Amino acid sequence: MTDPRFWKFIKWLLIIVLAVFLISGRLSNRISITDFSTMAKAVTEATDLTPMQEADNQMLKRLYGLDSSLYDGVLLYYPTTNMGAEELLLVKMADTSQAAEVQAAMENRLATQKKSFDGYGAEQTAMLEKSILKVRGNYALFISAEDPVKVRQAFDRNY
Amino acid sequence: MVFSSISFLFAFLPAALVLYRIVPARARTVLLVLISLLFYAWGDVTHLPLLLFSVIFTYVAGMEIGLYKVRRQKRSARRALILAVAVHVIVLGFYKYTDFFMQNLASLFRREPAASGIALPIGISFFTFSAISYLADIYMDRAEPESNFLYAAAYITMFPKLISGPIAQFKDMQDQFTAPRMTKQGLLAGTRLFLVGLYKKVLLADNLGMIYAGIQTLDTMAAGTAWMAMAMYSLQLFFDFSGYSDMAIGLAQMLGFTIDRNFDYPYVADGMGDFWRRWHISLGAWFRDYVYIPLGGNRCSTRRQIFNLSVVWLLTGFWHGAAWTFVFWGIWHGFFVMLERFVFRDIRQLIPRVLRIAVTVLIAFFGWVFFASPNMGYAFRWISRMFGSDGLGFADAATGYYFRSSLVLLIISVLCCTPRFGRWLNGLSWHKGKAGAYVSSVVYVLLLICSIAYIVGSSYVSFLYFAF
Repeated sequence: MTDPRFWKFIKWLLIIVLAVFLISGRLSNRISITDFSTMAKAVTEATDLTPMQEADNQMLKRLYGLDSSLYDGVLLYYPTTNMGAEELLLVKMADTSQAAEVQAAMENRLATQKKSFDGYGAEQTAMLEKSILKVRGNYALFISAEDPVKVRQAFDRNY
Repeated sequence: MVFSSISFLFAFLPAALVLYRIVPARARTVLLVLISLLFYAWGDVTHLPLLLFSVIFTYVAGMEIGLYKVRRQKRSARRALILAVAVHVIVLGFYKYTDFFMQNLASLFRREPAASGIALPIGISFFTFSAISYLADIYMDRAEPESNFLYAAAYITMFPKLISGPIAQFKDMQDQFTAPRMTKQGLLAGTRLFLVGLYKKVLLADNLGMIYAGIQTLDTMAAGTAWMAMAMYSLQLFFDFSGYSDMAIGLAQMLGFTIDRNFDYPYVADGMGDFWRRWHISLGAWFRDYVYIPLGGNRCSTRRQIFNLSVVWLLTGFWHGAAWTFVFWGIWHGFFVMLERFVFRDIRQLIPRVLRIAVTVLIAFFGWVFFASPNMGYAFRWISRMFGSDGLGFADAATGYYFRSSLVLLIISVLCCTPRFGRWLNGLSWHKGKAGAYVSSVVYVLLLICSIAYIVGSSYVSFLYFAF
């Protein structure tokens, strides 16, 4: 351990590991270059939008506390009635540093919805329990629907 | 995770402080590293392995350089330093500049530019510079190679400064890791500073940013509106970044660490040299100690000094972002710093101080136009609008609306750009006896309440410097 050659050896090992990781793209967390309209089309086609309505920026701010002008693309569908728990939010972030904020906003919304239906809306609670929240690179998806897996699969296919 | 988020303020921070307080002193460093890694993973878990690599690699390279130094093998130490720094720079370049080079190469060969799709890891510019400081300080005999891996890891990953600095140098931090002292005084002073930073970010920067964003949506604007946009962005950037720095330094102080201040009222600087002794002080010090002085500093011919300064300012611009606007911004500042040093050095004292401050602010504000613009064309269009290119005169209805709706905010912001308010509050806390302490406590509690109320009621706004 007091021989610099030992540390030199470790250093070169680390450099090789880094090179392999960089080349294989494991550390690069590739962001998606899929344009927002393509992704939006894919996820909306994968679910039934009848019980939902499209939201404007004001509604996005009210429900999620997010400002759509800060992102490359935002699409929100929220329930048409107060008794609905179906919801779809797709966000394309300007950079991945926004991921934590978007994820926190989605988690907050999910928690609020669960609280709202807790105790009396068994169906809605079950739907919220199986809802999917996924942040991947520069995209974030929150889907609460009958079959959220289909939406996630569409999201992953188009990422 | 953002310092000004509810989850940080009410979950992460209290839990971290309580845990840090109750564990035995010898376990604090390991806890600090774990908390910091969790903090990083919360915001960018996919790049956590990269951060870990940076820490381990820096420690290993530091040991190698240190042992060569002990054995007086200067050449080997130098080679090891160059290689280690090169690895850090290449990694930074890979993540931050690949797209920039690809786009410029594509336009050079008249091809369609392709995006690499490489995401920028949060804080990479900051933790890379910390790592280089660690290695360079060992090489320059300004610090001992750290045999305790945890101390090296704590220095690079320390969560208050991990994502957006300040880039505290290793030589200034090393001794603090051996015996971090969490005291009541430190906790109080740190909390005060944190609250001031929170207020700057949440109440000033975010509101200024909202007005700036509103102005940006206008298709055409009168000259006065364009000037207002410049002022709004300049003030937003200052309060955003200095607010973050205050919070970071305050957090470090709560944990028992001292980090020098990163901002010292830059908008009352009376020259560009003075401005850079007050703005992002830790970055200026980093470039001075690890680039400018090793290049020869100012102990050389004027021509060489100009070369050295040009390198520093080019790198400063490029460090901030992979775009020509940042490069131009660096050159802009470098040009005025050199002009002041080599041309106006003898006559600048003849100019009244108020005028010197006004000119400095104007130069800095014009620089931010490039800093804020997505491309050079946008920046020049913005400047041309400031001189009435949209043909709407100096002021129109929009100018009046934005001026009226931001007047109070502007007055408060300008007042907070001067040391007066801070001195008053500090004076109350420390020099005016019990009554003063009560008044200052009330002010701090009010700042906290207003900030929290604003955070709860508004949308999330990230820190501008996270992008660097």
